[in-house]
Amino acid sequence: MKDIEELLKMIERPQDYSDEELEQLMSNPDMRAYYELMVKAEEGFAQRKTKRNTGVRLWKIAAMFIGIILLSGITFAAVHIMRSQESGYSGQDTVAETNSQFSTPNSQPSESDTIRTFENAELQQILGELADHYHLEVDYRNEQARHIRLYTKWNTSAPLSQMVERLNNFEKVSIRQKNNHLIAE
Amino acid sequence: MSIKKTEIEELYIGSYQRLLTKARQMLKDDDDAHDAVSDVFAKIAESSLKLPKGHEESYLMATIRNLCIDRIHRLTLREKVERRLTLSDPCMTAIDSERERITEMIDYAERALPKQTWCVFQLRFDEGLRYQEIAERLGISERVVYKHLAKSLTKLKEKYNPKSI
Repeated sequence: MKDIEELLKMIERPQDYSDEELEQLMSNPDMRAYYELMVKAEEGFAQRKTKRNTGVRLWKIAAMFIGIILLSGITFAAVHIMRSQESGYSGQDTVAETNSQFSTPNSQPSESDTIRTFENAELQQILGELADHYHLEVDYRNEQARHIRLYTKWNTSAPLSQMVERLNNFEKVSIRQKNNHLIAE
Repeated sequence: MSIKKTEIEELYIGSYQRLLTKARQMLKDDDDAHDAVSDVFAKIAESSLKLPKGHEESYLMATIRNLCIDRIHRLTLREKVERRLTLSDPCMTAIDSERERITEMIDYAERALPKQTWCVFQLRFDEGLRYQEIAERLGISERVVYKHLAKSLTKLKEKYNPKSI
């Protein structure tokens, strides 16, 4: 027991021991074994911490995904209800649209997205392409709106609402969607 | 064919932290760990280290491990003790089965040691407190701290032969 105490002291303050004293202490197989146990104990605790941290990180990631799924579900439900109320009808079209919103949140385009660039294009060309893509009809309440020229980009994988919002950022443009119609005013 | 500068940069960005973590684990010295990782990238840059395509990461990990082992071999006994490095073959330190045995040993200590002894053991080897600090924290004498630690090491030695851990 006394030797172990000596070893413990040496571990904490090796500077108090000469090289010869260190050599002598460590040449004792028992002391060497105790020393190795201390090294392993430190490593063991470090491994435990790493494991726990990894576990906590995994739980945080899992919780984050659950949160995203729940949030998406709530968003889906909210959009579904709002669209149903706005459009005054329910059915396949509405569900399809909200599903599209659900699967393609407003975000940066992904690699699989197709970006269409309109350079100095007339609004009627832009809305025409949108209508074809989203299976809608376009109503022009203001005929002059057809010839407004714009420079804009369209992510064809994004929901229509995103593009409508982008177009409405232009001062002269006012677009809204009602049922299966795009209305330009 | 020498590796392109951009490829070295990509490897550096992608692998530096993992290599450094590994080097820190093995060398238990921050400066030495940084030097070891720098050596790896210096060897790549001067083309004395050829990385096999598609296996760059694992090759780099093996390289840093070997470099660390070389460095440990060059340390004096005092330096090893000061860093609390194993005095046995450092080649054995990174083997998975050994890591499991070490974790198992700590679990055993937690189960088998009396509460106060486990507490002292933990404060020393987990939190890295000095004996005096442990004594103050627990309101016991430094001498009693030694007794608890000696008791815990004796208990562990009965169960685990360090050579087999």
